[in-house]
Amino acid sequence: MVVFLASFFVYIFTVSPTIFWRDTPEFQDLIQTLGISHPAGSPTYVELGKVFSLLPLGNLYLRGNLVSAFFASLATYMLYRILLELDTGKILSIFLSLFFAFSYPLWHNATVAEVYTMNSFFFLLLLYIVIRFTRTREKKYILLGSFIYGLSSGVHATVALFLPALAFAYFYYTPAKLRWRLIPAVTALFFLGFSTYVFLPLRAHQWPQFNWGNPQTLTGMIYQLTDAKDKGDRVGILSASTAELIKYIKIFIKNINIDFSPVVPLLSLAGFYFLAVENLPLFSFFILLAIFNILFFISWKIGTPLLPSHAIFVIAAGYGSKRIIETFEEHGKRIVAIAIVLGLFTEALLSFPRTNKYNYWVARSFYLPDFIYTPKNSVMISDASWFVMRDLQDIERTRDDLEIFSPGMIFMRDFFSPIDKKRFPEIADYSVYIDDYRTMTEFVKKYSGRLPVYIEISDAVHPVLLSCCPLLPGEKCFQRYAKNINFATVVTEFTEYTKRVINYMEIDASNGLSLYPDESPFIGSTLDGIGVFLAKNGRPHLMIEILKILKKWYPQDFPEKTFNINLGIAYFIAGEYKKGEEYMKKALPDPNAFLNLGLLKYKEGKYTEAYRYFNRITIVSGMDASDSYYLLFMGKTLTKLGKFEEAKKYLLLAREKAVSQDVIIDSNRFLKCVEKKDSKCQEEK
Amino acid sequence: MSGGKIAQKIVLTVAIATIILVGRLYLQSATLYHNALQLEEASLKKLYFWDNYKLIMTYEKACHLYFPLSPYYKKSLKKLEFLGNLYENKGKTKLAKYAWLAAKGCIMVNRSFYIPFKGELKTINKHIAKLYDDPRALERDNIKDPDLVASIFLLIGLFTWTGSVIFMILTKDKVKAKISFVTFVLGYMIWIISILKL
Repeated sequence: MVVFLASFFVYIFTVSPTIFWRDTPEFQDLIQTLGISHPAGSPTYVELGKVFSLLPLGNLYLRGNLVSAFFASLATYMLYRILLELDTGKILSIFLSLFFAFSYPLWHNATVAEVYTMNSFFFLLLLYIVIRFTRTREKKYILLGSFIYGLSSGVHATVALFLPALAFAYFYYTPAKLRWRLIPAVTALFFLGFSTYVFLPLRAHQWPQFNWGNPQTLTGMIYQLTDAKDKGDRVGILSASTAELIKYIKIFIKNINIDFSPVVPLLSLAGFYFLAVENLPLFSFFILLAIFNILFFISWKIGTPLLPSHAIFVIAAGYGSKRIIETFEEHGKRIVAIAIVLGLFTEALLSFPRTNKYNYWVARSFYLPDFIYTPKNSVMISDASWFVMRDLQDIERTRDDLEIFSPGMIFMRDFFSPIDKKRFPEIADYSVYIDDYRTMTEFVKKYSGRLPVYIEISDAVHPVLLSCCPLLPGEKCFQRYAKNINFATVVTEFTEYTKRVINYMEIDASNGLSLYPDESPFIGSTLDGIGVFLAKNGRPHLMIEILKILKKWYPQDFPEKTFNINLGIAYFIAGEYKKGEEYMKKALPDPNAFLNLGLLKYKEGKYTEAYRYFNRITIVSGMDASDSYYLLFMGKTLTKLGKFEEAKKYLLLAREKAVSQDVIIDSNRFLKCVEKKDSKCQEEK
Repeated sequence: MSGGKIAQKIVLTVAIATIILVGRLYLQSATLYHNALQLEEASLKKLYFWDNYKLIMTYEKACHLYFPLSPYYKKSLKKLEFLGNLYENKGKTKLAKYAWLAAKGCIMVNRSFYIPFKGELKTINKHIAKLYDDPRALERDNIKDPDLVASIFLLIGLFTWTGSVIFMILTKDKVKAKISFVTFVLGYMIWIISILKL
């Protein structure tokens, strides 16, 4: 009770009161609307979370975050029970479980809606059951474990990684006469727990607000269960080189020392040693659990998905502490006590500023004005803000008139999509269109005449969106930051918008805002994108101002190199070439710096120098040679230098890989010059 | 430890946890409400956009920290409605839009098995419909949430069938195990039917 309440108290006073970034808005929305989450669907999480959405305490966003706080406290309690089960002693178990509670990954996840704390709880519950079994050998624990394992798969599919360790424990500890006889019961109970997945096809049939992969069909179910959306992203470790592997391990060691203070890693080393000597089977079980988790997620470079292995480290630390105390008696007790108290204090002190979200409203404040002031009945094609916009709409129910899409709904057929035949009959049949470009442009052409279309474009977005705005009539297109669209009205709106954005941030700053790394890809790229837009539309100095703000807000997430490149671009656009070149050179050997310096020299008519810069892009920095802008300008430069055969090769490739109409048009014009062997080929005005 | 004592401990823990949560909601909403009160006089004097935007935002935040009988929830909601009317009368449409949407959001964002101050929605919707020139806003309390009764039965079904399976595994009493099997079947059926009725 003490462990649960102590951690719960801290979590409640640091939990975010509203929306947060990344997947949090999705999970907040899901527990209210009982939808289907992104693969693998998380039915157990969604259903258990629903209990919280029915509590009349706090708003619905906060209740989503509360699910995490509650299960993080339960996970801490389960860890305490495991430590007690391993005879670690009451006081030591309390302190060590709090080490887990106040480590950055668990604490951070306890303050926002995510699946990881519930996953940690189920993992530790399962571990507790297995440890009980190893001690008592009662078959009820095997059966219970199988059922809980099946249920837990409905929280996060990566529980599959525990299978080798569980199989090992089963075959090692189960009495020989029961070993094979129990398999049908174990399998049946696992599938009974796993049957929470029945929720997905049945619910998908009703088209809830979130319906990823539409799993009402077998194909949809397979898509969900196999996590087809992120196929290829997951097991990066298999394709990692030795150097990358070493880098990941270094990051892992560094992170674990920051997340836990060095006390836990050191004590756990002692614990693993004593365990290996005294109880090799249990040692092997723990190692198997940890190693699969670590190998699978190490390339993610963050602690969150590694919570199961973090818990193993704490358990080993408990074992190590116990043995140190037994070996060195009074001295050992004192050393361990001082180390643990100091370590816990340091850990909590380091984690607190990074996890405290008591006054954290910025994710909502940032997008709210767009939500309020978008014209009625608009179609919003949002990129980074899509989850937030959907969450705002579903939870606050204030702008039901808006249709909010992500580009994925238009491009990728396997996602769920509101673009059904009923609402958008002319675009619903995807098979008509041959590619993303056609699909998107057809959508815009067919509907923009009738509805205000509002497109958000950030760095991460599909380039096809960039080509869509010119297709829209100016008044109807509220495009935030792209190029080549009617200047007069839009630039004014964007200038206003930028000032507004900066104002919201200041409002939150005055209410005690602090910044977290999670938000920077969103706000950072948004402001960065706005800056680029404004710069390209006659407001380069506003971009310079924005860049300086970004640098101030995200010192670690907006590194020197990126800062220099963007500032360089801004100065180029402002016509201050010398200053721009100076910043750009500071960013070498970054490929973008080479590219931009090449572009500058090209613009100045210094084609040999331009060629030298372009040539070094692939040689020095390993930039993707299929980048269409690189190919185009290499082709153009070679044309200017009279190397027509080589130029033709690059221009044809640029046209083939083109991400926008501009590249195609420019490539074609220069190809004509190449045919005529005309090195003075005129640039388009 | 006996079953009764465990239950007692659980009830006590849940009660303390609820007090902690309500304590946080009370403290934060009180601070935000008083912050807004301090801003109000100066903001309303000159009606500068950003001062008033901040004023609405601060009341809105206080309003988002609801718990039953919370004094600051009701006060903040009333303030937002007051501001909505004021801006509308003064022709400050942009601010009026935010104030009325914030008022509606405040009611909807705090819904659970009931909607606090549901009666206010009618008036609020009228203002929103007028400001957005969108008559559909009047009938747009079409909450797309799953059916409440079905959601509650879904949870009852889920906890019944999972609890019954766990009980069946742990009990040594064959009669109790048979009863658990029956409750398992019933729970599973309720669960499936509830999903279909959501």
